[in-house]
Amino acid sequence: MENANNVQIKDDKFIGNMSRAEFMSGFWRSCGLQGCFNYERQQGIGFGYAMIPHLRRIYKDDEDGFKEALKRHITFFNITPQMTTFVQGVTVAMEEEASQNKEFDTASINSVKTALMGPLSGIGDSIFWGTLRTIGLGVGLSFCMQGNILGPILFLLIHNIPAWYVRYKGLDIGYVKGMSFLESATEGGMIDTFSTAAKFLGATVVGSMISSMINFSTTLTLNMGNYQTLSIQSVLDSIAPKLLPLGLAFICFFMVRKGKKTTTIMLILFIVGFILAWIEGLPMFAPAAA
Amino acid sequence: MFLLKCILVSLVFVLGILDGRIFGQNLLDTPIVQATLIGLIMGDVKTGLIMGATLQLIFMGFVGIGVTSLPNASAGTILAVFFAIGSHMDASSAIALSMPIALLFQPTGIIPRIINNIFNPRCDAAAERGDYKAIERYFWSGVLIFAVVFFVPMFLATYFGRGPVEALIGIIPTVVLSGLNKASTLLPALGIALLMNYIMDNESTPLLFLGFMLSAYLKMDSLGVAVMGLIIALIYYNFSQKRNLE
Repeated sequence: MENANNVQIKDDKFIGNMSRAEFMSGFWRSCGLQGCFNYERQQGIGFGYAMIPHLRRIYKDDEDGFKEALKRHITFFNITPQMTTFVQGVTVAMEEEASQNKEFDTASINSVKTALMGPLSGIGDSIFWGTLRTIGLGVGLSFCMQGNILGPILFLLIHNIPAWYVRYKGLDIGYVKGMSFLESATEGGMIDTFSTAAKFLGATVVGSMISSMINFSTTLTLNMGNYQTLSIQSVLDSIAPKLLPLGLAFICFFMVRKGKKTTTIMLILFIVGFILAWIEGLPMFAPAAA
Repeated sequence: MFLLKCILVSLVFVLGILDGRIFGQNLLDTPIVQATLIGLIMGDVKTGLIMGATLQLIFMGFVGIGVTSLPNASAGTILAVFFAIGSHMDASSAIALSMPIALLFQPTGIIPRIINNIFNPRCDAAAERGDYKAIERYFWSGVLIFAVVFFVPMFLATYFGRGPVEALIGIIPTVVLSGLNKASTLLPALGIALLMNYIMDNESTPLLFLGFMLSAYLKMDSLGVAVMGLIIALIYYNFSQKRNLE
């Protein structure tokens, strides 16, 4: 019976090493990208959830590899939701390579994921939020104002038909393109160089995320007497822009490297947040109403 | 009958949030869609559609991308239409009420995103054991928390009606809201720090600063930074390849 099942799965290869069932499972699970959304990892748990069917196949006979891979894919992730399947496909291709080739530096997997999320979100947000949603609303609103039910229906169709198409094709394209690229890199013996290059790309993108994704600033204002006020934020900005996010990211990074539990760090951030909000709310530190 | 309507209306609110959680973001939380559904439940689709159009224009700017927390346009829309049709409030004052309601419901968006942080270390521990089923359970627990945190206040608001909602709008201490907001600006730093932990070493640290500088000083967008990173990665790749061949 078991044999029969195996044979059937082999015959059912849909693309590359993926069976149709695995492809569809990964596809449907990708819809849950933000299911366990939280401020720390954002879509991380959701991405890991979508990777599970792929990882179970890839690391079928390698328990340690499976554990490491699970850990890799529940880290921070954030992307325009419709674009996630492309990254998922590329990631599956990289995990397959990592499971076959022990030389493959697994750190490059997260580097590539990180490098993809920024630009794909940029494109995705402008296609889905900026363009399709706006066109859909433009068409839908005029019908709604007349009390015509076509309003919301057209709005949803205009946005969702392309959105589902991109979600479906993304997994396919990401996986196939990712595989063929990795194959040619392995043949040339360039996999180490590829890993380092991916790491460089990832580091550059993470650096920009410190500035673009941490919106930490302060309204703290010192009263210098004589109606003179000094805004702490403007002092910091005159030294260097985004100093607070940079400092905060490095403080968190060093705490992580020191082996502090993420729950502890989170609690610290919470307490700091409430204290800061409280201090900023005090009349003596509030920006003076001109 | 009234109870059933309250439950259905609250479920529309839950549908709106779960759409972006597990249904792949079909924009079901958009005011015109939500208002239409409430109109359908309350037996007056036409009013729902027309109010939805006005509310849509009011809330147009409120697009929640990523972590930004905004007044809850969906809650403002739902209750405005619910009060207008259900308690025969006139449409224009119901619409005027929608903005403070959206503000009142802002924490429903923040609270589950904070609570769900508790699943991160638990998922890490599960991954350590290779227990993928536990990760799936935590994932669905996160979904459930979104559903509950959205359902309960909406049900109470619909069941107890306008009076208590208006009274509540006045009494939320601002320090609670501002503390939550502040904490939500700090927490992404931890997620990014975890990524840094994965890819930072002596070789890549300078590039992290390059990325930061491009974004902070030159205001380059994420696509621009990624292309710069890609160029540097390619230069490195090509040079190494050449050296390998020699």
